[in-house]
Amino acid sequence: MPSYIGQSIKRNEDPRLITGRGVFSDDVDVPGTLYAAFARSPHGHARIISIDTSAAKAAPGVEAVITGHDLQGVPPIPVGFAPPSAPAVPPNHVLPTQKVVYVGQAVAAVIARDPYQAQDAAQLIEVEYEPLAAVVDPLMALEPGSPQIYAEVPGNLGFTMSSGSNDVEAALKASDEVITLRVVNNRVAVVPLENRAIVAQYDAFDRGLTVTLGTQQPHGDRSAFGRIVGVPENRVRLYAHDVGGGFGAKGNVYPEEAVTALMAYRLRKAVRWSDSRSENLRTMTQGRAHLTEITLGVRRDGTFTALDTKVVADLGGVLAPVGAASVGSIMTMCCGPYKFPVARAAARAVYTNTAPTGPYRGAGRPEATYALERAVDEAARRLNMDPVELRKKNLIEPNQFPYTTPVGPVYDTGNYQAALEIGLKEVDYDHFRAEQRRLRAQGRYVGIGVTTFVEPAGALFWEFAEIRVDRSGKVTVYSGGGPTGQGHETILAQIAASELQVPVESIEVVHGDTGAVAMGVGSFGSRSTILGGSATLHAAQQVREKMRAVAAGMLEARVDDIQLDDGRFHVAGNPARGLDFGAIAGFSYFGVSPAQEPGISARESFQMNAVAYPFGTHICIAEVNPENGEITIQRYLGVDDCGTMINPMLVAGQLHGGFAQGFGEAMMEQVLYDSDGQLLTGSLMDYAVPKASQVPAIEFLHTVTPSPLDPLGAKGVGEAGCIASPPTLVNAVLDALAPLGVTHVDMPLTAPRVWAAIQAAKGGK
Amino acid sequence: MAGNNSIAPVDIRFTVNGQEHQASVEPRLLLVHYLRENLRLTGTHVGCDTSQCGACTVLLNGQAVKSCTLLAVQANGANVTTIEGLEKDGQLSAVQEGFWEKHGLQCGFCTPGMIMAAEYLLSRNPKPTEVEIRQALEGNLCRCTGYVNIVAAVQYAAEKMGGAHVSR
Amino acid sequence: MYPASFAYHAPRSVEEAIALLAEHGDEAKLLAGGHSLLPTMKLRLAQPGHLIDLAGVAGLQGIREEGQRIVIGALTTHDELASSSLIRAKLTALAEAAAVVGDPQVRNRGTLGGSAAHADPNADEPVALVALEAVLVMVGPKGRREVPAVQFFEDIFTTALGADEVLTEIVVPVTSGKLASAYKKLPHPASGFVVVSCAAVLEGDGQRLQAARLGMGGLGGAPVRAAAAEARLAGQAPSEATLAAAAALVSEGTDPADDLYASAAYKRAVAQVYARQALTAAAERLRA
Repeated sequence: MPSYIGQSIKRNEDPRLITGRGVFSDDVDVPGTLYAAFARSPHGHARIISIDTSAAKAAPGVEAVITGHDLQGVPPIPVGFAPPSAPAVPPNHVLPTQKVVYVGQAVAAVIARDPYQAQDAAQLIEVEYEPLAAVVDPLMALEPGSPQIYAEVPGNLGFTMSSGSNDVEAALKASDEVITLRVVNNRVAVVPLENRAIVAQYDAFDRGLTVTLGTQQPHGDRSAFGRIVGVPENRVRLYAHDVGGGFGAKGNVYPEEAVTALMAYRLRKAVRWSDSRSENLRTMTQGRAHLTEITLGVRRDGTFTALDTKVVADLGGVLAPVGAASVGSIMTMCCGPYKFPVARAAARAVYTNTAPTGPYRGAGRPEATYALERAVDEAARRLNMDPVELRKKNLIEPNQFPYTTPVGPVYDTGNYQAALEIGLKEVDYDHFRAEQRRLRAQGRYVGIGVTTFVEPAGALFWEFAEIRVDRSGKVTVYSGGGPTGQGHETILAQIAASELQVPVESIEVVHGDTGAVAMGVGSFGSRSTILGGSATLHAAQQVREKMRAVAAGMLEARVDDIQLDDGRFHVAGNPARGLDFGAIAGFSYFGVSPAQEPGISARESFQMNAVAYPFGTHICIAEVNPENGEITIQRYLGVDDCGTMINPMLVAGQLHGGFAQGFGEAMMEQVLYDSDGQLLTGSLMDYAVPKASQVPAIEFLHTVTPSPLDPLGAKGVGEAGCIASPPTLVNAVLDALAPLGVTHVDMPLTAPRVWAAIQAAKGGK
Repeated sequence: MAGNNSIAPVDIRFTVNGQEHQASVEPRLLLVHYLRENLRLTGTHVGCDTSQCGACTVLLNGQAVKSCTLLAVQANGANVTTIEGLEKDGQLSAVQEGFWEKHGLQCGFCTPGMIMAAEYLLSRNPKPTEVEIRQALEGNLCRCTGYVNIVAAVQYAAEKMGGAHVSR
Repeated sequence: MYPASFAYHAPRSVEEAIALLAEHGDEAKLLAGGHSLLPTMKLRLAQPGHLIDLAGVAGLQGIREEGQRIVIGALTTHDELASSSLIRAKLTALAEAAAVVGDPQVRNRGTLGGSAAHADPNADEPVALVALEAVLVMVGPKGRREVPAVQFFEDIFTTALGADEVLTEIVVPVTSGKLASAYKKLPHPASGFVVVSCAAVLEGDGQRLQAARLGMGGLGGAPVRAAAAEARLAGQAPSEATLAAAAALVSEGTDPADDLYASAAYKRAVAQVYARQALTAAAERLRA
């Protein structure tokens, strides 16, 4: 039987999703369900004077109204990671009683029999506020005299991080050219198409709590709900059925979810909540929001000498559970795919009166890559060198792996040159440059952006898989992952089916059920294929060996003589003397001796002692119409290397989607607040999520450099598309505008901004 | 759902996926909530509140509409088709099949609305160009696929429906 | 996501609708396609106590040609306008404006009358109505009256329509002479609404323009006519240079507002680009 590895097979999860039979959290109906709705802060920063819930309590259909005063003793939302440099981590109260720190922050909740009635009553909650001066700009927040959001966090400086060595300063002094650039990684809204949704239910049978939630980390959230609600964790069961996108933002427990679970437990009922998009845009964690000053030293011949990256990261009003993650990534990934003799990075993470930020697809790698690639193009301009030549000169060589960068990471394998050359050849780079000269002479503004990049994947923790073979011989994979559309039910089935030689469609993959899956971490950081896939592979290997042993006993043959072919274990050289899965599994449950474990199952966790580093080259050709600033993407090509591809069709899907998010960030998306902390992009009327008509057609090619770190050789691909695309797009546009003297435009490159940059350059001439 | 006792309910009658329904509803009840909560047809999703995302798209008398921007009372007398109504005798529609074949979905949340919008497009324009497909999906947001394979899925369906057997 | 409660009324005639408006006063809102009203109700920015659904009112539907004029029922949807062969042939700019409203689903429900009465400063069709010198017909307790589009659209969300009146039809004159028109627009990337747009209407033949009318969207609280550009074109041959020269005048006298997406300076500058595109397309049609 041929292996399924490398096959673009159709997804196991699709039949239910294309027929409307998917089960997203808000689709779960429990008889007698109550509905939660929230009263939210209209202020960016204000003291809570009083909350009057009497009118809401008297409203039709209302079962309960609660405020933070009713939650004495309830712990704040747990923070997963707070750097040691943090002077304090101000508690993220489930419902605040003292003050609000961003617009939309929930201050009270209504539980009613109907969601319309819940909303009616929430409107009747009267909160008296004393507005306080707000600060929304992280640089201003660091200024002396700025409003202080927390007394225990002087200067609003939440924490600092650093990496590398101060030798950078001397190396920069000794450089022929020093390029310093300030770039903005604009704040973006995550906008999974499914908003947050939860159904929490008191479970009379278990005297516990059942929660159905859209989450990327079912097991971690079970622990969090247990702690917050005060239920022993072994009485909390958490389901994450279908989850409508997460992109990092569904790796948190949110205050509203905590309230919903608390109230279900207290009222001994089921309570449902899902947020509207406008609530979601106010309160779901947002991404990026970094200001970066990058300094690159270079010799006249183009050799990089030193890199210094300084970041101011906007944390928003509270530290989200993994709010520090993307800052950490900058510390390790600032050097990209280049050889730097010395480098250093430093970050200041700042509280502001805005929605909390957290990891968003890429989580720090896009920010680092954007700053670095912009700086490399700027260096090429300054040296009057071709930007591709400059990159070639500084890329880590294939024979230098494993390669230790000056800020710490050890890159496992790579051939950055190969990906670059394929891309250059595909777009015929030299020909394009000649064509560009011709078009420029005609007054047309076309440009090319070439990004070479590397990113870490599978960096943190382990993942878990268990395989059980039931009495009938059918195989089920129990995965600890928390998929949000990546296709785990297919990928893990492909891995297990290949190892066990059974049809891929016969395998069930169970995930998102803490009662069925013993343990798990979840899905983020391009980790699930590498870690979850490898755990599945190991479990499948164990299952195969266990079945072999049972088959040997049944066939009265030596274990070494038993062979697996096409789903049958048989005696080598005698295919007729064999048993299928059903026979072996059935026997294993009934016919074992006291010395043998009944049934066939295996559980494995997999963790790497290092990190895998996918890489690639992205190239964009763009034209700008100087009359209105409109950008046309003429061509976009990615050459990606994610090691072994389990399902190339799904790999392509990840790259397409990642690209579109990077495109959105680069071209149109931006969360904006006014100086009082009012959200100006509070609906999808103002916040632009790319539409089908706006995203260009794109192409992807691959090189395959397997990672030695995991048995599949996989490297992870979930985030590559959004890491490489912003600098590729922006550098293409800046190259197009070079004849006009435009050297800098901050993302997003909307037509009005590009036009304004052109006008400014004209005025400056 | 939406029960406010002080407001006179309105009697409505309409057909959903070939089945007739009669109900007495509060006027403010949105069609999408009627479909999801009263009829438990939860394939129709809600992704926004300003009529941008299109996850709630259904066919109303054959026309694609956003069921979050329609009161249930406005559908009185109409013929509604939801994602649950596309499969006929266990056969996927060509569009559904295209989405499966071409990996036109990832998380699947936008998918029902996307499929309904594509069904509507192909009912009006059986041989759309890529540009026409992209424009026809202007009212449906997807955050996962970059639309590449959604376009391919619609092209697959168009080709299939242009073949010998056209079921709709 | 959940509108506040309201009482629902489904009148069968304009008279009934007017009577309901009179009865409920400020509490009442007329419901046409609902694609402007319902989103604001879901956000609870609007909480009318009474909703008067016009869908069942006789006589508000349909497009018909009556001699030298085309009469469009107020409940005509954007999609019906965009796909009407009559509108496409004779009022091309209006068909093109209707074709780029929102998205297909919105165009299937949203109506011309609803859009006009709502008077969003960034709506498409009002721009075409102003250029086409349409007349809006409304009926109230004091009877029927007609208001030319350029007077009807007074300011942001403000029209000549009385709170006690129902907009019933939109009448567009068609001259016997040769007339061609076009609509070009820069859409907002998120909402799809107008950043700037131009509806150009040219009368004459390929050799000489008898008259030109330009409606500009996005340059103020309501669509405006570009008088200087129109004057520049009257009596001229529609050459590329003349069209461009006229387009360069369309922002004269306008005072658009800065907004989150675009500055006033940008709008004034690119209005010229879209005006030139609209004029060029209309001139090509005139020659054809």
